[in-house]
Amino acid sequence: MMLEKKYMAILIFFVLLISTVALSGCVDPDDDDDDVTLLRMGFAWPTDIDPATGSDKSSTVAFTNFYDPLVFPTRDGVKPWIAEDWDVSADAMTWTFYLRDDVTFHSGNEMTAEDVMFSMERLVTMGEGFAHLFAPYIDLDESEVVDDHTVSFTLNEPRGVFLPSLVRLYIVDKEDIMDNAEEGGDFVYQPWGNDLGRNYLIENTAGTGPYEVYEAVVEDHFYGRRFEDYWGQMADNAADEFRMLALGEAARERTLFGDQQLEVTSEWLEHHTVEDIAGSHNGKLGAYPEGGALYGMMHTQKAPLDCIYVRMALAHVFDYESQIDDIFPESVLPEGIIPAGLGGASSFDMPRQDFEKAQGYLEQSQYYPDIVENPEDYEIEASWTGAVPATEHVALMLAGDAEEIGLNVRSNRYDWGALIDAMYDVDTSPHIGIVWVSADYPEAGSLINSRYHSRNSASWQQNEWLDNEEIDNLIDEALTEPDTEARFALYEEVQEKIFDLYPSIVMHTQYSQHAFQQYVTWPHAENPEEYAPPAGGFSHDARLIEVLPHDER
Amino acid sequence: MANDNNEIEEIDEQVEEQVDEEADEQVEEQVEKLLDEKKESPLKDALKRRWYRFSKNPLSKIGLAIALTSIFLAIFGRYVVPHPAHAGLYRDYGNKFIEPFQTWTFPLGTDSYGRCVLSRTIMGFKYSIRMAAVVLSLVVPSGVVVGLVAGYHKDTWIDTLLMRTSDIFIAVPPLVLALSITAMLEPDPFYAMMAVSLMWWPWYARIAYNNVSSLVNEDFVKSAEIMGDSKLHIMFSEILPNCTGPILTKLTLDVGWVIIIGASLSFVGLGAQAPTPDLGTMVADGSGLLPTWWWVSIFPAMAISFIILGFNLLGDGVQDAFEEVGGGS
Repeated sequence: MMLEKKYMAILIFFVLLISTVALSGCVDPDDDDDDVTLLRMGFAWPTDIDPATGSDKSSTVAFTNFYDPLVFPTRDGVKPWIAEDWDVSADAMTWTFYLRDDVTFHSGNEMTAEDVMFSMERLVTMGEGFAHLFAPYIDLDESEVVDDHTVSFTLNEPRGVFLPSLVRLYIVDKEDIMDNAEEGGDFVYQPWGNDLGRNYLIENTAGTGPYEVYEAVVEDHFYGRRFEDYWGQMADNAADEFRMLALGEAARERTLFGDQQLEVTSEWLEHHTVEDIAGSHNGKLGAYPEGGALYGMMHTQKAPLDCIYVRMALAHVFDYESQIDDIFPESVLPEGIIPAGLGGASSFDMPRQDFEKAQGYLEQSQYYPDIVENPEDYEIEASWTGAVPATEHVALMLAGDAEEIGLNVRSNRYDWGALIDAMYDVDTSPHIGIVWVSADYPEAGSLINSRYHSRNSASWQQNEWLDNEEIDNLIDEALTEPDTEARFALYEEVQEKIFDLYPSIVMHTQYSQHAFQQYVTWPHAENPEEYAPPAGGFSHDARLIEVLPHDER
Repeated sequence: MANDNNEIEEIDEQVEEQVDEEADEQVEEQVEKLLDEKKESPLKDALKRRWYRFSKNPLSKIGLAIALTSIFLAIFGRYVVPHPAHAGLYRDYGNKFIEPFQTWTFPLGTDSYGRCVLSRTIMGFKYSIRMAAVVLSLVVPSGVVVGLVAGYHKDTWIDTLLMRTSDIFIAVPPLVLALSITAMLEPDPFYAMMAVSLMWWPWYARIAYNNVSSLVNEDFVKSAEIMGDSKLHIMFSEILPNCTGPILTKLTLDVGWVIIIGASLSFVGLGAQAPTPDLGTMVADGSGLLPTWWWVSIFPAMAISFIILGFNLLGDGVQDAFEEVGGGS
């Protein structure tokens, strides 16, 4: 009897072992199909594929590939896209867009001006994602569909940045969405009386983009296949399928990359890890700017950082060069408070590490005698998110450097969600939040507004809590100025005022780095100066990324 | 002459009496001494027997040596490591990722900050052992007292109240509760310790309760009650000493478990914060560097295994020692 049990146990063990091995070898059948080329990219999750609710990096990548914006960002501004041309009234309040007539939705419906108007109405009505770019200024009652391929938007006030903001107006299929809209759920928007397709677009797309979603597991991946009736140009070897995978864990990405089950690694891996993955598996390394920077956002209402001299001291103890050399070699030293490359960004004589200067500033602070006597009473919390391990290096570097002049800086790790929550309230915001912020549209005004206007203080993009009326007024004046040259001049003025207040340690201008397979050609990462638009999400443009067929690798 | 003889006899008698008295005193002293020794011998004998049983298994002695070494390194680690400054805000990127066994300066290599892995691993013992010490010093007394009181009042409302309460706490896995509490508050070893302690005491209550329940009707307890001893005296002086074996065994074995939970919390970022050299955090930080820079996580992981193995072997030895003696003194 005992012997039988023993044999049975051995048998069960081997059955389980064989099943495990067999199942672990099971991948999606398409992965083994040599006729299909896949572009699989890793991302920090979650990803929201509804262009009216998402706004983070992976979501904007989804929008780039599953939808089309009204205009497309370039390194110099914007270029025609769904809108072939546009006019603006003399008072800069009415913008008329002339649309392409050869654009088809994934559903097969023809795209018309009605869809463009609906896209704006839906975004503003739902009030999430990029709605803040339009909601306060658009006059939906006065805006109108002129004809099938002409739409006119009227604003409440002149708004110079309206045009570049339209890179975030993604066009959705009105008919498809209204057919699938749900009534009586948690979200009912008036006057529509339904959820405007909110539930439907969690797992589906209703766009015109180069790829259409055919499989969605919201917690794990989105698979898109090429849209055969796509109106735009695709690279010769653009992938047959574009797949977004929830990744971010170094060991898993390394394994998938080594097995050629991942074409492009995710964004937040540490530099040495990305370099090692590329080096170990004959991959390529590439980086591109997205109009973003790493900021040490100093809480200007929290002691001792409410004293400008302490902020100036901290800005002068940080080791900018070493941070670039040792942690972010793909990135570059900042030239101003707004990343170079964004239209209207100004250059300044940015602080560099200088302990003597830093000590001098600190000694001018009202807190200095107390800091010397009781440094433990003036602990400065430098907070970073565990989702981006490299920022721990920055926090510890700042803490170590600050120690040299007697400032007590403590590194504090947060979960990303917890850090966002903390930064929403002036009382719970940390002394210093170390966070990357990118522009929503390719102009300095985007970052100046999101980073320093008091209207946007309660967000993860700001921890400074400047609450400076003069700066707020200047930003508003700049954003409403229709003339580009005059607007850029106002940007310069406001940047000077912000710079003089030392609210942020601008650590570097960000270049996002990835490892990608040798059989992939990624123009944005290989030649960023020519291809990469300075706005988040547009460099993962699968239309232009080439993946060699299996027999040519 | 006759008088002289009589005098001599008297003197002899006196001397003999004196000698007899001295001899009696010496004998009495020896007897008392022997009796005193006799009084101590049961304890000494028991300890000797337990040590014999404990040391009969060489693995127990290895466990004891590992446990003592771990405690020594936890207390004095800072003074024996080659680079004590590497526990703090130190960085030397020029020396990052030096492989182990290449240089005596960094025998176990360096991490992504250029810090000595050996120094940080040894200094990491402090936080693991401290976690175990704090948690167990909180949960053992509290759990034992609850079990003692409940067991002594078996089948009364006190028993029901205390043991059902402990059942509620037992139902929640310590790691899950610790994760929840530290995630809600802020990542701090103090909160982690408190959270684990909150869930751990019922196990000691359960052990004490079972032992007390079986002893409460023994003759020595009944005798004490008849003699009018107070309940406190009976519980703590009569019953408790007879429960120490299983409690001590569990305590020793639990050191490893508490360290694992502490390391798990640190692994998910809810334990000690950087740059504190915590073994769980070091394993977590190094996991993303595998397999290229394996030493950054493997050596701290080995250190965790080393400590846990040591205390588990020690626990087995303690169990052997008490079981063979009969479980009571």
